[in-house]
Amino acid sequence: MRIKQYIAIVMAVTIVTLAIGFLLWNSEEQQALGPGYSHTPGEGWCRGRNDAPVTIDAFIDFECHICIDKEHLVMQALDMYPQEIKLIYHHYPSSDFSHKLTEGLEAAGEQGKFWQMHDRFLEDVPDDISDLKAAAEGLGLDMQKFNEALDNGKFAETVQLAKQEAISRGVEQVSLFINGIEYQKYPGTLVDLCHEIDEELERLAANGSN
Amino acid sequence: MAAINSRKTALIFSNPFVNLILRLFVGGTFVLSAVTKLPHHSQFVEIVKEYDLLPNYLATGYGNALPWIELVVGVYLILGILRKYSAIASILMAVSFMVANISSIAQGEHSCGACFGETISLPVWQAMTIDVLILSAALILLLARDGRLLFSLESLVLNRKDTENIKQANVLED
Repeated sequence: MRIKQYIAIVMAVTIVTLAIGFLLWNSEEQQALGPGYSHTPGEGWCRGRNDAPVTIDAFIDFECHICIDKEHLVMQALDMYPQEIKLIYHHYPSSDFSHKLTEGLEAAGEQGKFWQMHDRFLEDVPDDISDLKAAAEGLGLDMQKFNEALDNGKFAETVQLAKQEAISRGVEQVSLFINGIEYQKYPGTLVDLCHEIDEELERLAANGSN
Repeated sequence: MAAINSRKTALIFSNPFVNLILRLFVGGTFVLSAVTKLPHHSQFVEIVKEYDLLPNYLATGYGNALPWIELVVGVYLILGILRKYSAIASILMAVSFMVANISSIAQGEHSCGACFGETISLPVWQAMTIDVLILSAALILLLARDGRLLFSLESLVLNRKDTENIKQANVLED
């Protein structure tokens, strides 16, 4: 009888310990990205509150200037609507070099600095690989690890899969989606974007009150 | 005389207070180590790979499994359950840490980045000292007689008495 009790206690202790370990294990990415940031493999890199009512899906190519302008607008909107907007960044490279830039983003993300690299790209997109590596160095990344990831194409498949996933979702070009509805302005202004967001919030509020 | 001394040593090793201190030391060290490694497990795997002591797939397996084993073994030791098995696991882990630290010394490294994850970086000699202490403590826990343990779930549930140690102590006093 006592042996059975003992076995039960050992099992209970083990389960509780493993559950705590699981929580610690899963805290890695969230901690590395900081509060308000998250990353789900296959779903993209997120910025903003997870429970925000408006989700902006941005399919971005960093060699496309309109994309960069749009992304700038989204960043400003994120500052203006910190509780209401969540941005999900998706890779949508169109050339070999933008593919490489995107791999650089993933390699920075591996070291917990995806958004820092993303913001660095928004300020000044690297012109070539050495410029990209200089940007990584400027962010204080482990350069041996970054160079290995970039030179060995560690994230080439991740980027490729992300683009295929976007295409399979019907995304035909670089674009923004606000709660699944394509934002049509090219690139539009901040006022245009805020107007769309306000309309979506009003629509959600109306649906909620009905 | 030598026999009495060795029996006295065995008794000290089996002393419930000594056992408790050793369990808390080894268990606490492992739990601290696991708690600092688990949230940074990817970095820890990379650190293990950088030692170049194991093939890549084994280094990945070891790096991913070690924090879990440390956590479970540490909790078992603190709570006083499966003491002998935990002591065996502790010895194996301490030996692996010592091998890694010796390799660090051979490569001219001065700090042990893998010991307590990213949180605490120890000089290699301090890490080696901790490893030797863990190994010694785990050996004592392994060789100690089964008896009543202080603050131990095992003793509590199985109602284990320290009769063997009491008998031995009486014999030596006589």
